[in-house]
Amino acid sequence: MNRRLLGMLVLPLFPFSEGTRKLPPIREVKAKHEAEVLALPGVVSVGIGQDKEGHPVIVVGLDRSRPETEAQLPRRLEGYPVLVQRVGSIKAQ
Amino acid sequence: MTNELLSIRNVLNKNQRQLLSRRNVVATGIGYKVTGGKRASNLSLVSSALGCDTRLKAVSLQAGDNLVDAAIARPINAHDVTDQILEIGTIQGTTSGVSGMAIKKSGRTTGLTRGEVLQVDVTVNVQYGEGKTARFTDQLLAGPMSQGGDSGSAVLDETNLLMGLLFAGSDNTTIINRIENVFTSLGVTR
Repeated sequence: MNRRLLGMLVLPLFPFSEGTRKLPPIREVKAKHEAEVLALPGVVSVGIGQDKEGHPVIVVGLDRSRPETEAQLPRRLEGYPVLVQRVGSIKAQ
Repeated sequence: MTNELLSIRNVLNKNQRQLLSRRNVVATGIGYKVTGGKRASNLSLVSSALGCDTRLKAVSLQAGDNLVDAAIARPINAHDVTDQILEIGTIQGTTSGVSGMAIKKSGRTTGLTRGEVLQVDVTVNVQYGEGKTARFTDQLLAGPMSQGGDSGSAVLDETNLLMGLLFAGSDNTTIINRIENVFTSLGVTR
């Protein structure tokens, strides 16, 4: 039996655990949700970054400390972690 | 030649050496109203390079989302411009910015500084004076490596591949247009 057929037999045994579930592309997830995130008070940016292990994360930038906005932000968007950073007011230089 | 202006060639006119910079820097040089003292030195700097009958082709800020803040200008005398960037040297080509890329720029205010691309595909609201905000998409975000007056600086990787045009920032953040978007928007190439 060739390797591809073997893979088809083995894969369905572990398809649905959280760690191995295939996530949609992070760019699509960010694009889908960024308008509602940017509408929250003090949100100045939404981008794609990496955590310390190099995994992709969605990064939300705030103009200053905004506890109420942070409380409204989800911890994850469709499986991707959401990090919050204070980036300050961004101005044309 | 100044480090705020980047010598490029226009695809439509391959032998015509041109200047690329942030829109405001070029506009200031041809006599647009100078807003605030910070721009004052740009006036003489760009004027001396371009002269007073320079024609401007700008990509305007739009009501919706923006990709770049850039403009090109044609010097009166091509010999006034070189391909060298102050403190950096010659551009070796172009590349696409990715997370973790080590980058550098030479700017009027803070000189030669280095940073790292921390975020890509950034959608960001940028303030243009009091109460005026423009939203930009597909931007690159780096750590602090610029201040007011540095906009228009070319941003390169460590091997002098051009990857962006610096145009905005905060105390701890720098926002960079992707160079591929700049070139596409203005119809130019290097």
